[in-house]
Amino acid sequence: MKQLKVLIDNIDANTGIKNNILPAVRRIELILESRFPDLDIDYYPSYFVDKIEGKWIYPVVISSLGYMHWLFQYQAGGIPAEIHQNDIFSLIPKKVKQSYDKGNGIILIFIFEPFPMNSSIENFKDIIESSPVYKNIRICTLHYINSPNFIIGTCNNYSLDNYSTKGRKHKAKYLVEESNRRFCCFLMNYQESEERKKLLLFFKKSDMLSRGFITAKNKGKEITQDKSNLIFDDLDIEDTLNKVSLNIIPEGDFNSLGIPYISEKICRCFKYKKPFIFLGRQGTLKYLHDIGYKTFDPIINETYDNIENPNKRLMQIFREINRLINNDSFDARMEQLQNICEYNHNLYNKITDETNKRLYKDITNE
Amino acid sequence: MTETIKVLIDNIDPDKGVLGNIIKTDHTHYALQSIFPNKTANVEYHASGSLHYIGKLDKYVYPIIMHNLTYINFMFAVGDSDYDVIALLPKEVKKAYFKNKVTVLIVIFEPLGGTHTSIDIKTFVKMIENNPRYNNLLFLTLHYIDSPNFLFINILQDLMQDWGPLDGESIRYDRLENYDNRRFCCFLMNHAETEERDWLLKFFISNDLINKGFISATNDKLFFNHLDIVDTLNKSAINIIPEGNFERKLDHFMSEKVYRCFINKKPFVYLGQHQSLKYMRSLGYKTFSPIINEDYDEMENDKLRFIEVCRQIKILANKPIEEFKNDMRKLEEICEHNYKLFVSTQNAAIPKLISRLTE
Repeated sequence: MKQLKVLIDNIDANTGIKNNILPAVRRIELILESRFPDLDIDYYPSYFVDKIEGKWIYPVVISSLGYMHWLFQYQAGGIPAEIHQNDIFSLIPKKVKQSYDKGNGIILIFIFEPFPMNSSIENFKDIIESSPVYKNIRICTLHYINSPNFIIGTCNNYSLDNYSTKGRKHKAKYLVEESNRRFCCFLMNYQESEERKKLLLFFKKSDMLSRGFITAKNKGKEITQDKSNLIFDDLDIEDTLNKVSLNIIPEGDFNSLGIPYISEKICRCFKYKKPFIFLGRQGTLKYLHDIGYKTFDPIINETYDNIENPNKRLMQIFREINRLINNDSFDARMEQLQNICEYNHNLYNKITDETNKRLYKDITNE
Repeated sequence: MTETIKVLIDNIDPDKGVLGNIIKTDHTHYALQSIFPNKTANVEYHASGSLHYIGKLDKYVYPIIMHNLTYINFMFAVGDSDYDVIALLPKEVKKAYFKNKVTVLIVIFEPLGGTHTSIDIKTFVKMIENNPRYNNLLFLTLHYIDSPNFLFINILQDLMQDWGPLDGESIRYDRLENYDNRRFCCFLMNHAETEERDWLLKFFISNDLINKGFISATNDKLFFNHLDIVDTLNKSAINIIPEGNFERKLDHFMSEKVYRCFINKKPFVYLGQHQSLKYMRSLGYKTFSPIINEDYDEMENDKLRFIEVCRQIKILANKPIEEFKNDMRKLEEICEHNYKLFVSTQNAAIPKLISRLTE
């Protein structure tokens, strides 16, 4: 098994690993263990970086993109060392920086949120690529960026199968009796965004709460009220997806005009071969096509992806859900989408394999 | 093949490195270097917290380095306890300790029983030996203690040739090239620490002995300030050892000051605890009577002992040079014996310690 040697600044004697540089909700060891299930991971105190034989990684997790612009500076043309007083190198331990300068390791940055509206990926890419000092920085994002510094896909097996980093995973024995449900929709923190609340209300008003496996925090009682017993608080993702023919994805960032991205919610559908309807940034399905994935038009009417106005897009999505779920030939139609799902599944695996091959060359030891 | 000792450290600061377990000293790394000198073992540091992520545990050492013995009585109990050293271990370390995967290595650099609140060594050893909870505790001290929980090994190896880390300051040694050999040397250094060292300095001055020996003392222009230990011993015939603990009445101990004489094959006059020479002889070493009159060792009264030590120094310093040289030649065999015994004892003890910590 290939070995991944990971530098950690602070391994607390009682609580274990603390994230490097930035505090983040997502714990680095869970991210690494799920992102690299096929690697033997060893953790080393950063101070002993010079004792490590072979390559190392210094992982940094960024949840809030507010930090992003602090970490990198435009440095084309070779910039003297003092510039690093203001970028990521001013934050990492001195010995790690010294070893990095010798080309011994990679700083691996995970960014779990999409780039916000008005940010230019091209500009960011240019900052990183044009600065020789950032040569050994790798950034895992939700965006597909064609650059040696960027790694496709932050999402990992762990968040594919779990909602949170708390290790919650329910084996849903209670799903055995629920054979009449056609779709699933993992809403969870529905209070976070307006369109999720509207979606839950739509399910309730159109009598769909019992037609799908829907989860919402506290069973969405504020909205579902006397019908809250029809939905779920938490469900095992794999079990649930395997019992339905369609996944309705409330991605978030619905009103944002930013660049599309691919999160774990879509990847789950690739992994478990499920068609989906997507409530997210406009143009995401087109973005998927550009990368090479297929979507489900005409069996699913995907004109919603072209509608810029969020309200109109949402209404169109509701209409399409209604049309599909209440159609007598729902099962047959979903069956017709299996070839596409199979294709997406294979492409997803191929992209993942190729990405890992490239990344592992830089970061692993035999 | 060099054995690897996997050492658990609670706090490895990304910039400062290894900090002390439980007792917050920054001396841990130096201490371990001193215990395993010259690559006798490969010391490999691991964060204690990394035990969370290890499936199959190896054998680890959890070092606790102590100087100030005020702590010692707080750390042990007669039975199970929530208030002893084991209770202070991080959770995962404690779990591994009870699975026999961790040896807690307690290194104590000062003689045991140093304060009036301390219990005597025999009681202390009994307390450790009789409590199964402490099966995986191993002590390294300055005392020879016959117990499975104690090993006798020179833990002050780093001070044998140097003064050790003095808060990171680099020492500029006084140069000795322009000095002829002198009869004796005496490293007093922190002479202000103890009364008998101050008396000794006054004795050197009042008896006009300053130029007969290489004498060092901090912040005193009459004497050398910093002397390189090995160079100085090589230019001297005899070492006068101001050990400290002069008035101590408890169990005897061995320190780096005596070991330096063994390794550099020097005879010595010992200004220390009553019957220390007798203790050395009980360990197999030889001392220098009758060439040096060692009656002082039997004098229980500290002041009389001090006076007798000074009297012997004066005799040695003022003896006709040929007689002095002849006497020193007669002591070479004893020095050779002590050297061999010290080296063989160390050579036997280190592998024993390593196997105890790794198997």
